Amino acid sequence: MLEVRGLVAGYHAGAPVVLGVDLELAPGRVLALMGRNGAGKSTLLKAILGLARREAGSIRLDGRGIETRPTEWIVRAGIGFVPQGRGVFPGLTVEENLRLGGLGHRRPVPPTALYARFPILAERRDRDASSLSGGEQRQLAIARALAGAPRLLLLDEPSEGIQPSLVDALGATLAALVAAEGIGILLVEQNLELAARLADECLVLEDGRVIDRLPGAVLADEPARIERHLGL
Amino acid sequence: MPLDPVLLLLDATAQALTLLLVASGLAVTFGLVGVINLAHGELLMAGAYTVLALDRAGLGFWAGFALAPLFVGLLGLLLDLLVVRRLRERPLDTLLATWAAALVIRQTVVALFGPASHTIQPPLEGSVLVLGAPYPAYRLLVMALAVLVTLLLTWLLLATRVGLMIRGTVADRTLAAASGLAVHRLEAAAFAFGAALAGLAGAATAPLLSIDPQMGLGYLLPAFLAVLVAPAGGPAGTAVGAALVGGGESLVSAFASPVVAQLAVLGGAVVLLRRVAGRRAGRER
Amino acid sequence: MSREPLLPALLFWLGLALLPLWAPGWLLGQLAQHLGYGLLAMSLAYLWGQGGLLSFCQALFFGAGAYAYALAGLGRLPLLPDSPALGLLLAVAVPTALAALAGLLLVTARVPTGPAWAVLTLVLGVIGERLAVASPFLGGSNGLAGLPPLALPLPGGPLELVDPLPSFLALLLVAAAVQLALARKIAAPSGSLLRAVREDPLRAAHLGIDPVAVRLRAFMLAAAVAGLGGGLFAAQFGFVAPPLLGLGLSTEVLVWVAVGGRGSPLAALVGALLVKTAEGLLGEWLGAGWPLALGLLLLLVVLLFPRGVFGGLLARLARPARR
Repeated sequence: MLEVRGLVAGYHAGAPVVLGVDLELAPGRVLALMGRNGAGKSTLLKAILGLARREAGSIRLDGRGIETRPTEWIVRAGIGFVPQGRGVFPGLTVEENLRLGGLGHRRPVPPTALYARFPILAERRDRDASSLSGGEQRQLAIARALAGAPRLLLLDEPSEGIQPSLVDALGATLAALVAAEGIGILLVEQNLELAARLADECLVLEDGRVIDRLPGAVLADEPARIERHLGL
Repeated sequence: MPLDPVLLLLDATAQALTLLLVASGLAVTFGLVGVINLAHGELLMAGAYTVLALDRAGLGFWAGFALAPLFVGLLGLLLDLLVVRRLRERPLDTLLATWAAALVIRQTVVALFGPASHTIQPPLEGSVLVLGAPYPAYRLLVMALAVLVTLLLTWLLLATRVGLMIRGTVADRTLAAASGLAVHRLEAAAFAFGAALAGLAGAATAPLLSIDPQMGLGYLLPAFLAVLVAPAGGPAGTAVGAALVGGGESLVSAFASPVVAQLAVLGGAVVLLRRVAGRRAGRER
Repeated sequence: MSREPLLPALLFWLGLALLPLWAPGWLLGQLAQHLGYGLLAMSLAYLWGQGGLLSFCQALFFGAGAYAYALAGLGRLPLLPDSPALGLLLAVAVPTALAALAGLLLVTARVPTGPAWAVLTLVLGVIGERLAVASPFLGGSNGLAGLPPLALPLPGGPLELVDPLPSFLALLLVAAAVQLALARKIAAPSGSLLRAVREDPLRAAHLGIDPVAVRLRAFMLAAAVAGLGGGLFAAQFGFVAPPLLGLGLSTEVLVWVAVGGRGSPLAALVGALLVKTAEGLLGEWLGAGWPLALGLLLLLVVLLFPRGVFGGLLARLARPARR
């Protein structure tokens, strides 16, 4: 569904961070992007969404080029985004965050359906999103992205700053999403366990290029192979 | 001249509420969209001149009052498309460009209407007794309009879909785009709406002032001070800002010359700005 | 830009110095006045370009200098003799003192620089203009006329700067000296301090630099240069009035600096000369349409030439092979 060829991208003109990356993401599949800090993983995600400068290469969704489209168009075409860090609208309630995630989409998922998948959010529905704990905010961010009924979900380090037990729950939720709704997931992750649990395939990035492709099973069975790349 | 406390209070309230009406458009374009539009005063002036033009054409006051928000809203949309949108990331350049736009609008008005000043009669004559003191009826109407507009803005922001989208865009612009919101279109619409509010305020206050091409600045600066010292974005914060600036200036000028009042307001604004800026910077981080 | 190229500046001044060889007297007289405006432009370029402080009331200090010269020259200051030379001294001192006072409000209070600060300068400009109009001491809205010219104490006897040629040469010398001095100040370590504060005041503070002191000094220096320009202008114009410190002139100097380029005081001065000369040529034809043209010019320049028409050019000359 998503096809990226030869992508060169960065934040400032003439200083690209991603130096030529190919990848494909199909529905129902999970692709993990791993690598050290500064390898260009986040930039790659942002470039797909139009939040970073694309200098060269093509990005196609269902065969159509989306490189020149504005971010909101890309998102409305069915790509959800859970950014690194906060990912929620501060000053708005949980319920407003979820409604906002769906506004502007053709067939939004109503908050009630999202509360079924993330019950803790139902308990917090009228609270200011920024008053939620880190783990709850992360769940809200994912729920917000799901409100638009995306076919593909891009997540940038969803486990960052979350306690290990909650990371497990997160992994279960995401796995269930893939199984139940056939969503494709592109996951930037430093957490080996989470990636190993979810990924069908893993791309290792270093200095803006893909230096290794591993099937997901290898991540779980032979972690040493990737630990080298991550500098562990 | 003996200072009647009721009149003093009424005058201060009138000035505060009038300023609230005038600043409401700025509260939208600056408080929400985050643009410093130095042509805001000229947008208010355009509203006043619309009323003048239609009044001179024999169509009466209310025709102009109805048309002004539409006309000035369109003018604001034009300003957004040509200038503001392109200078989104460059606030100082936005200041300069909107200042230039103000100059252009002002000179166009001079070319069309001449440099002299005009007055128009309020559509409502006579006075009403308030707390035992007679007060001009039209002024009271304008005050009521200010309250109405503020309530309308609050409702729009809090209870409508568009209001939610705008609040989201204000809270985190990038996340809004990444949630599928048409950020540019929302901002353009909000800017045009702020301009329409300016047109409305200009039309409403036209019978209370002398209408001349230089009147924009007299609107702009108090409005900006009100919005800058507002403790929060949005209509409620602006109301506080307008109360402080408008009410403050009115009270001080009852006891001292208008220039001293302005200096006092400026000093007060600086003091408040320090505290507000610190709080705002913390929030944006 | 951290270093203004010396050669283009010298060539420019040399070229101007050769003007009297062929230019008529009236042109020299006009240019002498424009060079006074040029000093105002340089002051704003320094404050804005180097200090990052966009001021909408810079003409306030120009006018203050002009009024100081007028008051001293006409002997309207109590206890002080009526002396044009004293007037020139006060033309520098009074605006500097005013800047220190305004600085209390604008700089010391740590209002974050940027749009809010600029709006405050706008308010200050309005107040200043209203004060001048309302003050009988300053001549009210009519201003003060009949100002005495400056006299150069030459060995053969004092030369009064009345004729265009000596006025032009005197202004030229002063403007050139100020421009070169500013260029040196910009290239000096203190210039880097100012730029550091402009870029990141918090980080500068962590490095032990006091942003308030640095900005206040820049604000006062800019006021001094503007005041000098005002005093010299008044000496030739012979007449001061509130428009010399008003928002109209403050807007004009913004246009000059935007057109010329705020990165370099020399570029800003050239911008001033160009726009003023254009006004002289087109003003008659456009008449009341000149302010409209000025507004459109500013709009176009900000949208299309953010670094000014000459700013980019000079920067490229200073560092030819830098990429």
